[in-house]
Amino acid sequence: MAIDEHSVARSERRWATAMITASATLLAAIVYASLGAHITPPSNSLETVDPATLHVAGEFVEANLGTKVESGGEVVARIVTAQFAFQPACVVVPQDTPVTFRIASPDVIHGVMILGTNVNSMVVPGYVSRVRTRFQDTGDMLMPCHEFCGLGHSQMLAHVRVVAKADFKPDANGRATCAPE
Amino acid sequence: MLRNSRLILAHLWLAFAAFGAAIVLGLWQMWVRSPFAAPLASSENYFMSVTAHGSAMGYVLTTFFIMGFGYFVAETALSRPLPFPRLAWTGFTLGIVGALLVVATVFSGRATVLFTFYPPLTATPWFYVGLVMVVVGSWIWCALMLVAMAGWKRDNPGQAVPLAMFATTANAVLWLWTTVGVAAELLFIVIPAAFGWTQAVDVGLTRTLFSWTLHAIVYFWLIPAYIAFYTMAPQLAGGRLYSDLMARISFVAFLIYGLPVGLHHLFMDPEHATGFKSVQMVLTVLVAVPTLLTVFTVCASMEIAGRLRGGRGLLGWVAALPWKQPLVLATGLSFFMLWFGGFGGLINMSYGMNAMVHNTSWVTAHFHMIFGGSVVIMYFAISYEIWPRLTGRMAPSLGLQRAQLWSWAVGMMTLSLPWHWLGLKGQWRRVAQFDYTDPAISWWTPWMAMSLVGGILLVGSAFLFLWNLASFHRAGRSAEAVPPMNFAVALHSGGTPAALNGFRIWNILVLVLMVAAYAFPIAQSFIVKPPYAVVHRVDRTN
Amino acid sequence: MSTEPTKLSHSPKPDGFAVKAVGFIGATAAVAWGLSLVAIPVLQGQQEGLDWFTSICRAVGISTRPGGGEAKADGAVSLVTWSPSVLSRVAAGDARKGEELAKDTCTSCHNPNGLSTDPATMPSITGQPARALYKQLWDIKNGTRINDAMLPLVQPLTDTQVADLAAYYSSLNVRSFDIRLEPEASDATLKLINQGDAARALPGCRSCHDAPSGGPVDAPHLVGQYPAYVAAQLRAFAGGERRNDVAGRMRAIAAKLTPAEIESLARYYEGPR
Repeated sequence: MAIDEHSVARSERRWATAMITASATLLAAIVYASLGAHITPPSNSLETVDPATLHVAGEFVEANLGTKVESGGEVVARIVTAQFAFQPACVVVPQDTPVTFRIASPDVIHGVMILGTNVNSMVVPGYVSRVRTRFQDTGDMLMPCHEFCGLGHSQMLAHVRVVAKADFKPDANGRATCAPE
Repeated sequence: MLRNSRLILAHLWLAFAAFGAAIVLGLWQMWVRSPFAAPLASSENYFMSVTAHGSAMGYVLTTFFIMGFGYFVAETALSRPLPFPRLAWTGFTLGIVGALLVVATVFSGRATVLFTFYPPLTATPWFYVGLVMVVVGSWIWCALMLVAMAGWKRDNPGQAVPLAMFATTANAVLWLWTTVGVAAELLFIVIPAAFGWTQAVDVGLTRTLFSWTLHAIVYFWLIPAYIAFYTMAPQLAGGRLYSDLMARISFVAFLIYGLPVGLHHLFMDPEHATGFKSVQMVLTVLVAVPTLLTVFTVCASMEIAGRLRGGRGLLGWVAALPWKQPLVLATGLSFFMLWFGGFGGLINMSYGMNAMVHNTSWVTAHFHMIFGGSVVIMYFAISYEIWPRLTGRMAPSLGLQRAQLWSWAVGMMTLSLPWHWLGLKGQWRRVAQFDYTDPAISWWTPWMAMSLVGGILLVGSAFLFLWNLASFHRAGRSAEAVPPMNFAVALHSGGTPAALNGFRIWNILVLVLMVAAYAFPIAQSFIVKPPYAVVHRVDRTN
Repeated sequence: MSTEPTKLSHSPKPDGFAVKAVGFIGATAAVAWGLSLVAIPVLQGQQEGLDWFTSICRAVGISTRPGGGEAKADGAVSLVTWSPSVLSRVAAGDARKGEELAKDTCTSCHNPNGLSTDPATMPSITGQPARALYKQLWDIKNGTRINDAMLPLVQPLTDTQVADLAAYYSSLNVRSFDIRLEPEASDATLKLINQGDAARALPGCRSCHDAPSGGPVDAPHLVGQYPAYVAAQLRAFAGGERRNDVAGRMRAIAAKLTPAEIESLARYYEGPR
């Protein structure tokens, strides 16, 4: 063969440099997204919560679940994911408004995603999952459990209803629920 | 004929028996969740089947194939007998007893926790004990590979360990590191809970420990394919290995960067803050590098072969390659699928885009294409290549082997491209039943049908593979017709750095990186002291 | 079987390669840790007005926020909490003491064998899981499950006594049939039980009841239950009169069942005839 050892080494160095540059470019894009668009994985600061007492005390008692406009004006949707149901099964949120989802599990691991959006989080018993987002379009969207949680996993489904800002009408306590269809 | 033919054949046949059964289950699972009514559909049967399919493919097929192939490489590449063959049989026995325990517990419905366990769901302890036995059996294999390589080095001072054996031993070292995470999870948390000694588990910690194993295990599965790319394909194509040095660097890079990256499976988890997820994301970018180096070196090696065979021009060498050789064909098909799989991996790796695809069919599609496609197709081709050396019999038909490889590749593409698309559109994972009357879902029907066709092709291909292997055993013995096993020779020999002839320095680096990457995420559980979740038993009613 | 051996390098500095490799890996690690634990967190924190120390602690996961938000503590649907200590107390229930205790409090309605005197209004409690019995007794005691007939009887019981009673009735099994036998039912009913219905987000009954399912730890058995009782409870859940189901799952399920489905499920769970 007419390839000497030096040209082999040279071609490899060139290729390795190109590939490391490509990887660095990818990384730069991710860093840019982190800083420019403030993209982080969900739950960027840890919060713990006891799964055993979730339903008894604290923010995840039944009466406190669902959408609420907090005193500071922040729209918060609190959801419990349990074998094999979401509580509440429908969450109403205003369009084009920052919304924070706070989700916890009283039993096993679950996962939550909202189809057609990048809202996606695991729900691990012992921790609060937090996702902040802003919905562009109005309408009903599927919110299934996407992590195996037991035999009823396939039927564990809920909906998010995005309504125009004008149609989002919380009550005197700041609470809003999905109107029956 | 090899000294250890029986040992190797026992491993490989066990691997492929599990594979043959598991692939049928896989097809049935697709049928159940498709719009078409399937027999025996129930939640219990579906998730039992998912557990069996995952355990058989991910733990039994891989582990036993890799062990068997490792013994083959140790004997052929080193040209000396395997040390302690009795111990190897002990490892096999442990493994097969463990695998049978897994089969028994899964099919009695007492272990429906899928192959990634999901504590606090808790199966019968014997399911986990069975898996631990498989792992312990494989640890014996790791020790034998280390001993075999050390013995050769002692007797051949100043020479570099043959590449195939260096890579096999790299895989053994990688596997020892890899299994630490899952072993800690099972031995300290899951098995005590399964025996009823503890009532609750730290779920975040179990996920962290499992993530330690979850990514590196993929490189354990993949390295035999890479060994074939570097040392078998160029040889069969009539060429030379472009660079022995680059090959060694790639295998070492897998060892170093394959491990401290597992948290990228937990990007969407609430039990870790952003910092260490990001650390491991950056390292994940680097683990793409050895694959990119491999693409170059293997293509260059094949180009040498093509040009030696008279190929001209920029791409004429491609046409000149001996595509009739099953292993050469498989390498081409594997590279083709590696493009898609690698591209998908880059999406998954960036935590912004991961939110689009996490726990959707995209992920299922990704690992089916890259493992079931790129890797397992090489397991087939390797088997076709080494079976004559194990049996002393030639294949009656290379045509059937090529047909099998083609149908596998076409089947895998047909299966996984629709999954990629549906996943991107939000089809979520691990589901036995979709509501096809929902307008958000009803449009999936043709895509589900297409992937089902892919699944049927794959089952057909799998059976053809088993048929092809069986036909070796029926063929007449023709030991003199079987060419000796040669691995590709490098274009230039000499100049292997001493550091790339062993693992000491790399093990130290792995240790440092693993401490830096995982010590805090694990210690965090003891600092934060998160509340535990109570055990939910799947092996008995309340 | 041979492969041409590759010679090791005889360069004057045999560790040159290793030094370079360690340098490269060290540099990449420095980038990984520096970017992830310092640069990105601090710059992101600045956008939120956090100081650098808080930002880094947050990224590392040292500073944890206590489960925050505007908490409200009222409105609990059940006060039973399945902590490991409660599970141990239930598991430690003494069936013999429970048997003694049952003579004074339970047997006049539920008989010593757990089969009840009025199947139209009372459940069969024979062989029910101890945790299911414990939860229901406590819910009645706490008033989260309304039962005027039971309330005065369970009011004076201590936690240990509740666990003992649960242990006693769970230790019995006087069903007249093998609960593994599949009772006859229509395909639609069997599908509801074994598969559920994704279109209505209805998990199959066996996801929680009667099967080794890994479902809720306090789910009762249904096989062998009186049909009138099953139907009445499903209607009570659907109407919201009974609401001691954590996460509202039985209320949600029952509200989606048709009256005909409630009847056929109740008939199924009576067992083979």
